[in-house]
Amino acid sequence: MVSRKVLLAPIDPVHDVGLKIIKRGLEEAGHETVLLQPDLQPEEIIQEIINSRADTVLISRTLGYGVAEILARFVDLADAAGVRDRVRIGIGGMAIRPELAAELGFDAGFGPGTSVEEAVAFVEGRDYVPGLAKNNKLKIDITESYTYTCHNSVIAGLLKQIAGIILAWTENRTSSGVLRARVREELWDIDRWRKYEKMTEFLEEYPRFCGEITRDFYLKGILHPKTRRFTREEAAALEEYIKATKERMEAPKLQHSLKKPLVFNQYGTGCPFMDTGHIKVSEAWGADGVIHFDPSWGARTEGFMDGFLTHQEDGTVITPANLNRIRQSLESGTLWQVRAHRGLNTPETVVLAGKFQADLTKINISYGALGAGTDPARMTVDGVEAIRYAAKYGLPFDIVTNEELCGVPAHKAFAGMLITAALALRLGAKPILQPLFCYSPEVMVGGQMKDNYVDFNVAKVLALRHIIDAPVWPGAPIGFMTHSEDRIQSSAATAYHACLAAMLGVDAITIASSDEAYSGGPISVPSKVDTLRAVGEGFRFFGSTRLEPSQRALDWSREIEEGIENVLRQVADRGDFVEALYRGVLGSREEGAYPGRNGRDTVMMV
Amino acid sequence: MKTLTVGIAGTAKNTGKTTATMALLEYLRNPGICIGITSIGYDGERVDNVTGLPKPRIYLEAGSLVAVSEGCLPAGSARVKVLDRTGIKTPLGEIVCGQVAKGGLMVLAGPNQSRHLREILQWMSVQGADLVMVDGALNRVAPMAETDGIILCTGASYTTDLDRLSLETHSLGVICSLPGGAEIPGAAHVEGKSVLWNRDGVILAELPGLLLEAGCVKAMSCLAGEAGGLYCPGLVSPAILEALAGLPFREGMTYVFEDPMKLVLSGGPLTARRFVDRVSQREGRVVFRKSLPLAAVAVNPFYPCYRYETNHYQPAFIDRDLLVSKIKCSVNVPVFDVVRDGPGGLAGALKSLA
Repeated sequence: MVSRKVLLAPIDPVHDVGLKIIKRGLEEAGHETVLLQPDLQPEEIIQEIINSRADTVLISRTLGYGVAEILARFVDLADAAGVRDRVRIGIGGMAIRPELAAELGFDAGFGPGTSVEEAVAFVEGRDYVPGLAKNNKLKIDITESYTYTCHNSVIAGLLKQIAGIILAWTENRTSSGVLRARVREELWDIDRWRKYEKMTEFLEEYPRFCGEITRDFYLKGILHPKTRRFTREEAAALEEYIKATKERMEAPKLQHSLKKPLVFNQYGTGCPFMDTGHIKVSEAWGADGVIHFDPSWGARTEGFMDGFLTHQEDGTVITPANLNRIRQSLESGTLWQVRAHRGLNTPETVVLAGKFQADLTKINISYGALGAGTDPARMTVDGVEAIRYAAKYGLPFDIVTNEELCGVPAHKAFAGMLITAALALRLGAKPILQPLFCYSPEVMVGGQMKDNYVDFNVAKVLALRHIIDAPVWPGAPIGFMTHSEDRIQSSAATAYHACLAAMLGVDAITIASSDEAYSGGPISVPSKVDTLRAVGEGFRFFGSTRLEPSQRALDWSREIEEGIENVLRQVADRGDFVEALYRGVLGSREEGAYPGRNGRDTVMMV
Repeated sequence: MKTLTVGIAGTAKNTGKTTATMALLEYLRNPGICIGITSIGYDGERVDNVTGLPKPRIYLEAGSLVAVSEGCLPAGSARVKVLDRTGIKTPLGEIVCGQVAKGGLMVLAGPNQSRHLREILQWMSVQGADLVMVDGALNRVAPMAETDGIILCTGASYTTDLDRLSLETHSLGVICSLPGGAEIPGAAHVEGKSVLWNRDGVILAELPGLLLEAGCVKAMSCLAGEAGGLYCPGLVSPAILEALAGLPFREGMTYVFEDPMKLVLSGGPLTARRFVDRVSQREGRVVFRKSLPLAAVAVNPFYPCYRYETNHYQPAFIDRDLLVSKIKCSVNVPVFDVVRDGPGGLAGALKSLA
């Protein structure tokens, strides 16, 4: 490398910090630098360029109206003085973009977010190639370093007992959801599907286990009334959009100095094209993973249609073609979660997630049965089968505890979560604990968050950590119920919760877009960016700062753990998990948890 | 036929350079005329890079020659067949030269240095362009010295003070009307140096090419009584220009500058014209190696008005008639408001450069 002589000149009354940072980088790269004082006249800088025999000049200036003319005059002077023949000149500052640099007559422009490496590359006359961290994220398995050792022997014993009860109960039971998943698993081949080969055996078997809507699709070609197929032109436009976006994609890292928590963002506008736009925005603003949200009616419908379909309401329909298109739009380092935690298609969703090489899924029997409307017996049969497929496809899954949002106290929701986790471990799967970081009805009534949102959320994580060595992924999304229609407030609330999660050293978080709670329709891209930027800024602010739990958090943590133990004992004593769900042991009607009715009486004995 | 090159130079952003360029393109649309176009800035964008206000778009007919940064090609609807790559790098990629294969809108960002513009104009000439237009950038004028003459665009965006505007326009008119083709003594051809000679053409002193530091005045001061001419190939600082006019040179002193734009850049049009006036008062003369005639002035009453309370710009206008009449009184070349008067007069004024 040839050592360059670089003159750094702030054409600015005050500001030169950017140049000072670049100066250090240039010197570390072996270049000679001269930093001029601020506020020199253009003619004085030209004279300095000549006197110093610099071969590169970096100018900095904050832009405003009238400033462009000052900079253009500087370039004109350099041109008229003949120094442009041998000196390359770059401009940096707020609001500087390549288009403006071209307009002003500079050789390069460096705006906000420019790395020192970019400036060094310009000085060395080579193309800037972004570093690994910027565009080559690698996928991380957040379950990798955990042993799943249960530290609380009493709870360990109870979970073992309950898991045994559940497996024995499901052993001679099945459902149309389980049978459909089996057909999908055994008769539907993704490679043949991708080649448009007709899978006659699958098409003969599958509709037999579907509900009316999906049966009509396969037998009569009738689509769900709220869906339509994309046109060829729309599909081609999507492909073009993905291609163009991937070419210029840079996937930054949000965590600053930390390795975790990974940040997950949800999508599910109903339109896979719009989803793809949201995914690309999430990736470009630093999200590590994205989560597929399906429509609420999908959970009540037996079976999946196929085709590249858009949906006129929230939630993106799960079809092989939709999953395939979305899968292809992802950057190589983006984690993809297809949730299957509830509803009548839970096991089949895991099969599809596995076949389309999703990275994660989401299963919870208790929440699925209490907060999301599926009959407890059906949810248990389907949930166990779903966990088996998760194990088979190596899909770690989080166990979301959103029944807290119905009003179920944390200790009951956690007991349900740990039961699903115990089943997962028994069946060879990798569960991830997902406590809610939210302002739940429990704390609204009980006053645990009257002073702050910190202590009770800390207590939840401490309780889980005290029980088991397992990954923790607060969600979903963090800050739920603290958001308002004010996008700044919502972004800030999410960022505070994200920082709390980071200080607790959790493995991942799910964040919402700042208008998610009040959008009145699909969430908007600016609001997605708001939240990601706010979270990134929060991570930057706190770095690796750790949080010392308060005495109150420690006390609540113990209470939660005792509560979990008590609930598990009740379930074990009852000897029937499904009955415990019906009877409200894991969340009662009084607390707001009503056993689901979808799929009632559809469990079959074998 | 020799290629005619015309620069559309401005005194500031939003003075109407692209509007004038577009008007000329529209007027001169004729299968028999081969038009070439480039820009030393960034033109044809939808909104202004600084103010965010709408900008005039550039529409190019099929067959036009164009030199543009490669990064601009996908930004418009025009399709360009690239004929040559130049190796000239800009923040938006390498400059490529080509011909418009399918007419449409185009964003233009071309060569932004004089030497690069020179290469591009040469290319267009070789390709057979009859007329090449060089759209300007902000208040940049240095590269315009490579053209055969300029149209000056000025107006409220530069200043809403009409007296100052007319005075500065007058000054530019005066400087651009000074003769070119000046010869210097053979011995004064020293690469990159300013030279002082006596009335017999004998070199008295070699000085830096750029007269920016006070030391050079001191050196000339000692020789002022003998000097008959001074040639400066580069720039002069405003302070040195003032000082030069005050040196005790003999009457009839000749000052030779490379081109009018270098003199204008040496402190601005007013300082430069004052210098010319003072030299004239002492029977001296200011001349250029290369002239740069002013063909016409195009005025624009529009300006972006900054609103502090909302931190954004909004369109505003000064009195159109008053602007035109003031500027007409200040220069000896035609003055047009292209939006009101149409392009005919402006196109006609180009004949003075041929």
